[in-house]
Amino acid sequence: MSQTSQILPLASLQPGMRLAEAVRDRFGNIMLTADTTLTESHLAALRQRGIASVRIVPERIPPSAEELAAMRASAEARLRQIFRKTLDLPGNRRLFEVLLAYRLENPE
Amino acid sequence: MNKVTLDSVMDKIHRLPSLPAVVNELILALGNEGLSVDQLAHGIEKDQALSARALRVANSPFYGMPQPVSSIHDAIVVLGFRAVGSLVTTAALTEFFTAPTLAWFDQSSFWRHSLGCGVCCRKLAGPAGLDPETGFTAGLLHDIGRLLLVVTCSKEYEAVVAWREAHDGFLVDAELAVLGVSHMDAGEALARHWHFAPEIQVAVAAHHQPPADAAGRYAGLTHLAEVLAHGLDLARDPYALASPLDAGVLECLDLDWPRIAAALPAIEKEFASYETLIPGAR
Repeated sequence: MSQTSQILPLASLQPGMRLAEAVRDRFGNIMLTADTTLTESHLAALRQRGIASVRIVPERIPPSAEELAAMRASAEARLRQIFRKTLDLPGNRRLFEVLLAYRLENPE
Repeated sequence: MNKVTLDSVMDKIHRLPSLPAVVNELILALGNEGLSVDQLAHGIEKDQALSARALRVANSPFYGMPQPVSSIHDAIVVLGFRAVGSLVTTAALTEFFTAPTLAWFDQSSFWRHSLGCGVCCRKLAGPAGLDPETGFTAGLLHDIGRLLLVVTCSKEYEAVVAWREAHDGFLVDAELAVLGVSHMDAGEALARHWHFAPEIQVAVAAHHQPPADAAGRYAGLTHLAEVLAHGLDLARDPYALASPLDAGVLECLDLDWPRIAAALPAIEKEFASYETLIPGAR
C-alpha cells in the first residue's frame, strides 16, 4: 500500500512487471486492467496501439528476516494497544486472535 | 455541570437544516424492496455536486469499471441501484455533517471509522443472510449521534474528549460521565426524526448492546462490524479502543470466526476505495 507507482516509457517495460492502473486506448476503452502482469504479447499490443507509457507497480524488494520480524512485532503491538481494555473478554480475545493471525501473515 | 438533556438534543435536531430530500428518500428506499429507481436516479442527478462526489468513488479503481461512468444513470446500469444509492448516501452525509474545524475532534478519523464499519457490515452481511446495502447504511450511520453531539453541543463534547483522554476510557463512558447522554440516545432521536428504516434505527440505538431477536440482526451485525473496524485500525485513531464484543452475536448472525477471517482482505481492499469521500482527506 505504501509503495508509490511509477510511470515508465514503453521501451523500459519488461515482461513480469505489474500494472498499477488500467491502460486505456485513445478512446478511453480499457486495454489492460490494473494488476495485470505484463507478458511479451501485452508489450507487443501496447506498441501496436501507440501507447507511450504506463504506470507500473515498483518491484517489491522482499523484506529481510529482521525487517519482517520488526513489522510483525509492530503489528502485534498495535493490535494489543487497540485491545488493551477488552482482551479478557472471550469475544474480544477470539477476534484478537483472528486479527493477529491475519496481521502476522500480511505484515505491512 | 456540563450535563446535556435528551430534550435539549431533540430541540437542536429540530433546528438542523434538513437533509437533501433525495437522501431521505434513499435512506428509506435502501431499507425497502420496492424502489422507484428512475425517480430516485433523476433526483440524485439534480444535485450535481452530490452526483460528482458519488461518481468519483464509482470510478475509483476498486469498482474496475471498463470505462469511466459519467452519470448516475450509467453508474446504476453498471453497479446496480442499491450500490449507487449507498454511495450517494455516503457522499451526502459526509458533506452534510462536515463539522467546523475543531482542534479536539478528528473528523477524518470519525468518518474512517464509520465507513470502515459500513464496509465490514457489507462484507459480513451476505454470509449472515442479510442485505449488504442495508448493512452498509447501518454501519455508516451507527455513530451519527456522536457527530450530532459534536456539532450541536461542541463545548460540552470537548469535555467528553478530554475525559476520554484523561481516563483512557471508552467514549460512551465519557459521554455518560460528562454529558449524561450517549451517542446512542442522540443517534436514536435523530434516526427517528429522519425516519430511517426501523432496522437502521435499532442499529443506531443499540450497536453496543444489540437485542438478540430478529429485529436486532442489523444491530448485531453493526456491533460485530464496529469492533472489527477498530481491530483493523481503519480509523487510524491513536486512542482507538476495541469495544466489548458480545460473542453471542455470531450465533445470532449464523457467522463463525473462519468466515470473518476470510472476509478481512476484501474489507481492507474495499475500504481503500472510499478514501476520496473522507472529509479532511480530500
